[in-house]
Amino acid sequence: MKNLFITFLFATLIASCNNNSSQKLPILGRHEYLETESGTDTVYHTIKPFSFVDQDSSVITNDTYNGKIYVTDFFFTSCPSICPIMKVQMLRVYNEFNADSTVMLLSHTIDPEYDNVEILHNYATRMEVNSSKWHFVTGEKNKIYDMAQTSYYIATRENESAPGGYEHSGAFILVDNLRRIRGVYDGTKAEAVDELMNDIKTLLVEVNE
Amino acid sequence: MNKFWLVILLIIAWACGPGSGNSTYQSLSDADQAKFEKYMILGKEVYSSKCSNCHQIDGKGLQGLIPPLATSDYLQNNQSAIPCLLKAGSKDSLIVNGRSYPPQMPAHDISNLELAEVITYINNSWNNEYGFMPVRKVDEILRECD
Repeated sequence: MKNLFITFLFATLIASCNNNSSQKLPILGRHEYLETESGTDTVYHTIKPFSFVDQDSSVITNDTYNGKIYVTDFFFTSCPSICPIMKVQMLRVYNEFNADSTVMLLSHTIDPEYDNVEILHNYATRMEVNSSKWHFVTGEKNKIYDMAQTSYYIATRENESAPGGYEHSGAFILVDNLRRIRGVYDGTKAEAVDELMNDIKTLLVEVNE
Repeated sequence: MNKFWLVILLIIAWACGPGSGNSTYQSLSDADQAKFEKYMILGKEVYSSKCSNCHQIDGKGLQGLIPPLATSDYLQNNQSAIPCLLKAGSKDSLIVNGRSYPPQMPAHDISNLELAEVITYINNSWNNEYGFMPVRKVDEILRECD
């Protein structure tokens, strides 16, 4: 009971901190500081260049998201565990920002051997989403895993004992127009995705300044 | 402590239980009404652990990928196929409310009693009124599965 009270207290405190909507979102990841003649420059962690293929066989790269902000996740179509919940939540983001072309989505398969273009095409068609806004991508497995680990800081690995054979994070990652990570959210929780949608609105103000 | 919460839970469940609104419940004998109430509580737990990842907490499924259980003509019209489907899975496409869904229903390691509980729960949640599924009926049906 005492724990519950303390949790509640913290939740209230955190909620009251978040009320300031004019605040900018933090820039996440490891920062580097470069000494220059005029002082110190901060270099932020950015998403590395990538090249994958989406559900329409289009090549998808950083340039596809040029000037956009996007939410990304990692899943696989035959996933029996958290993926359908993540997709229900991602669909909420899709519907909320359907009319705003600045907001895009990017879902990577972590099972590219099975999830080829045709499987992803069927999946996206059944999801009833527009492929110009929401790309489901496949590609070389080690490149997808490398992006997950080194660019988005997501742990993903094969594990025979996990449901469906893969262990993976349910995180949604918010990336800004300068390829910087601005938020990480639990894509299996409706409240966390509410927060993500609020943060997208905050970020849109900054991007449109 | 656990016992205390269980009692509280049972009181809440009794107070907010299926009671008056559900015609299935009203048609049952006193003994079956008690069983129905118990199934509804335990069935919800089975649903949360084995079903809701895909079919979702609200039973609505996922677009054209995972069929809904809330308002489902398939569920309503195929009660005697449901225990076999849940236990053995299916490699056939299913047509639910006029729409075809991919063959992705996995097999489940589930007892007959859990089947009775979860089917009763699904049958009587989200405004569904598809009837009571006692464990004796699950036993009968499972003997006839293909």
